[in-house]
Amino acid sequence: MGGLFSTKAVTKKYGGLTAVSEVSIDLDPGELVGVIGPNGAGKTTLFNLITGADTCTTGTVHFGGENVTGLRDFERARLGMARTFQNIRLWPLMTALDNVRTVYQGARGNGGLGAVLRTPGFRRSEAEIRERAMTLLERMGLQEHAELIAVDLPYGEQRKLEICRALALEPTLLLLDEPAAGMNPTEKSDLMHTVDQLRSELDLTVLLIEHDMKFVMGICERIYVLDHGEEIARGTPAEIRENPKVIEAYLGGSD
Amino acid sequence: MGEFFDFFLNGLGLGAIFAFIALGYTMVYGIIKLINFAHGEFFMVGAYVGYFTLRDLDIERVDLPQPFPIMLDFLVAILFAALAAGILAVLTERLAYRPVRKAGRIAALLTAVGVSLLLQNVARQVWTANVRPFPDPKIFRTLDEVDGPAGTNLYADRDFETSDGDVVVETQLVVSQGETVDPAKRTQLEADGVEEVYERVTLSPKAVQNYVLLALLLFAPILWLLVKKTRMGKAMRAASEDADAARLMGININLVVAATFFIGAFVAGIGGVAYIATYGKVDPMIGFLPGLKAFVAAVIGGIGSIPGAILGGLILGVTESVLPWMLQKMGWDAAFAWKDAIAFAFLIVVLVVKPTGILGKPMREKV
Amino acid sequence: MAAGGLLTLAIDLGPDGFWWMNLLFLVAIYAMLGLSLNLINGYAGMFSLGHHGFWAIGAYGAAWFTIQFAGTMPGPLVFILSCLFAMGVAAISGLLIGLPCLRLRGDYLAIATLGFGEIIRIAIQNSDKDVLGGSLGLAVPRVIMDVNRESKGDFRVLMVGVAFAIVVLMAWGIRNYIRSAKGRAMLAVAQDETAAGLLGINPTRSKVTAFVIASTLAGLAGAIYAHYQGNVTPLEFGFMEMVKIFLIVVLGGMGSLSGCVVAAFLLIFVEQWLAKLPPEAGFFKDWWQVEYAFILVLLMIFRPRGIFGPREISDVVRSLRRKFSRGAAGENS
Repeated sequence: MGGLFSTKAVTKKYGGLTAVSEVSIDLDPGELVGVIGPNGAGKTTLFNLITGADTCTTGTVHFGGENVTGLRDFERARLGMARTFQNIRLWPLMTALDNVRTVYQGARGNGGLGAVLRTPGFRRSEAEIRERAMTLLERMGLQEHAELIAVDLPYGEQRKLEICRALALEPTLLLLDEPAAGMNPTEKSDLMHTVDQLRSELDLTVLLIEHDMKFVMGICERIYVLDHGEEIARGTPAEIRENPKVIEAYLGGSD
Repeated sequence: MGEFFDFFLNGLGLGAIFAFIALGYTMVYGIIKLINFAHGEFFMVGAYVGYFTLRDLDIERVDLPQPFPIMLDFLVAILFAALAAGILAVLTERLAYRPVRKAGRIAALLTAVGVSLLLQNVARQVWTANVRPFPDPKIFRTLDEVDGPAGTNLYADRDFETSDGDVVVETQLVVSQGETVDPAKRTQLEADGVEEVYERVTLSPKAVQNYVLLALLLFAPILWLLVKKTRMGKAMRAASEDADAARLMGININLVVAATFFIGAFVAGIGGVAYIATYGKVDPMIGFLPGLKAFVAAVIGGIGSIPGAILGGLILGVTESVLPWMLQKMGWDAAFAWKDAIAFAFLIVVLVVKPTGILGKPMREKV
Repeated sequence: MAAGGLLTLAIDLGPDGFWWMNLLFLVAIYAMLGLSLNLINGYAGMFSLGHHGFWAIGAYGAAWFTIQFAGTMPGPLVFILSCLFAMGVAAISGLLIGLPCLRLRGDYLAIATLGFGEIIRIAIQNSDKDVLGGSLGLAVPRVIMDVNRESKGDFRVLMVGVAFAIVVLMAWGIRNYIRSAKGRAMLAVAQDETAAGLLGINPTRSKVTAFVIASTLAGLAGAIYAHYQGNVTPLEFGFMEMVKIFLIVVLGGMGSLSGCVVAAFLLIFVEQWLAKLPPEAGFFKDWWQVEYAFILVLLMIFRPRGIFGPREISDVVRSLRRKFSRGAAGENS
């Protein structure tokens, strides 16, 4: 169980409020799994606990056979865990290209004296990173926007750029926090299709938060349902659809 | 133990002055997130106005039994100092800060630094860079009343024309304590047109410290009530929570900000008189270091919090007084020369250990 | 009357070569300080008010080293080694201050670094007379060349040359650095630290690196300054200097390197010129510090984003040219 990734009873309390309560998730390599739940169910908090943006009150997070609970956010990211954000968090004043190539780990040593003196070795490696970033931008259909400042991009493209940036980390686990929020149904289904393709092309495991049940049901192999910070159901889309607790949570949430 | 207690009380007195200045820092920061570097200069101007009131207005001549004239003298000086500082703050806010409020915090901060320098240098031009001694309150008597041995030193002032044509006030000792007035001297004084002599009331530093602490104890609840109970106080708190929301609720932000500056500087003006009475001097630079340290106090207490400013001021005052004393006891002879460095080191430690200060609200970033 | 006074002054400046050389040297020093502070306050998005402390550390480091080793090696070697020593000391201080303080954000960092700058000044002021000279300061032996009445001009010209060469190298190096992976990581941390951390960038490390580099460069400025002045005193490194450096960065436009140099020139020129006014200038002479502060406030009110904004001068020229040619084309059509 949990071949690639798992959380073991992670819990987050803010003062008296329990945002996430004893949630355990397991992912096998190559899976595409969804996390759904009404507003305030603790989905984003769960992502924050997984990625290290926030610390668990109790419970542990395991990734690639290692206990990463004690690691900081950037250390977990470097192990191959990349994420996007519900409210877009690109580096707003950098170009699309720079947003992507900043993340490449291979380039991280490209600073210091080599950069200051513009040595041939530095230039070669810079050119290579640029090449790879451009390929990735093309893959998401953003090549024409490469030199645009991130905030100037249309909203939907910003969402795609966030995924592009996450992929530049060359992750094994990709966490998408409502990647299709604010998109129209056609854009949504295009995006979901792309995500599905990328998964097989890049050997990714994907965990995604989505509000829209229909889409999650459409592409996810398995689904976890959270409500009030607790897991209330897990299973295949068909099982989830039939689950009375889920129906209750969603209907209860709407009034 | 007695010595420790002295240093501790001394620190409380000093801390009360810091607290008076820190209150304005913390209120202004709470509402517009600006480190108002010019706040120290409001304090300095208040100190000067208090100084001139005490020196020139002769309020102590009022015909009441002692010690009321002297108390009245100080009360009027405090009121004038506070009003002058408050008005200056409102003008500064209107003319310099409001135009840059939208231009970002760094522009605003540098404007504040610029205003601080401007006021410092204007003070230096207008009032000269000289250190002026504190004008002790006087008890006046006519020459005729001085019969028999004097109970204390008596002085007289007369106008004196220098060779440059400037008129300066010359003070002379008429008679020392326990002696009688020399008739020849008296004739001379009458010839010079001097009709009255006075005794100087020297305030003991300890007494001043106690009064300053007392003033803080009296004033802090008033300020607290002002902020908690009045409409303006509620508007201030609303604006510091969320200025945009407050505006939408129909609160006039400009008015609230102006009121905050006025109250903050008003309190600093009181601190100005407390400072000159404690240290016995005033000069154009007094706003800089006490101002900086008062900000430190505000940060230590938790910026934006009024009880925090008072607590932070007292803690910083006591630390600055007691810690060098302890270090000196432990064998570091130069400890007192380093007291300012100790205050700043204390600040850095507090910031690193608890950046939001003692009573500040913790901030959490949303992902 | 005052206008007449000003007119004669403008002519007076002409033949005064010494004054100009001194001005240019100071411009170069403040440009170095501005460029290095730009790395912290402009690019790395931090807010330091303690840069003058590192400048002082560099100046005193170089002075101390030169006093120890003058005469034991060839003069120019002592000069170079003292500069390296100053940079090393400044770098270590930057690291020691940066590690605990850089976790703080915004104004809190500003106040912590300000406290640090004051501590440095107080420490120097109270230092042992035999080590750092206490409040009297240190005399720096002349190691580059003998400086006397005849050679003073040559010395100034030489130092102005050295200082400007360093300014150019510094600007070039900083520009290259921010266009590298490390530089981009620094910008990313400045623009969204949380996102940067979650995408594998170590924010603390990025910030500390920027802080240490900037401190090192400020130390170099201090070393050059000490050798030029021939003495260092604690009063030269007060908070007022920090204000000037920060203003240079802001007026030059945060994140603009060429703007920084231009702003250094304008600010130091105005300051030196007002200070130099002869007594006939009356009001203008006596009140120069007030006028200087007043100009600062006016500049902040009317140009809060700097003279050119965050653009380089070359961008400004290009956009002006474009605007001009577009205007001409508009008239034709």
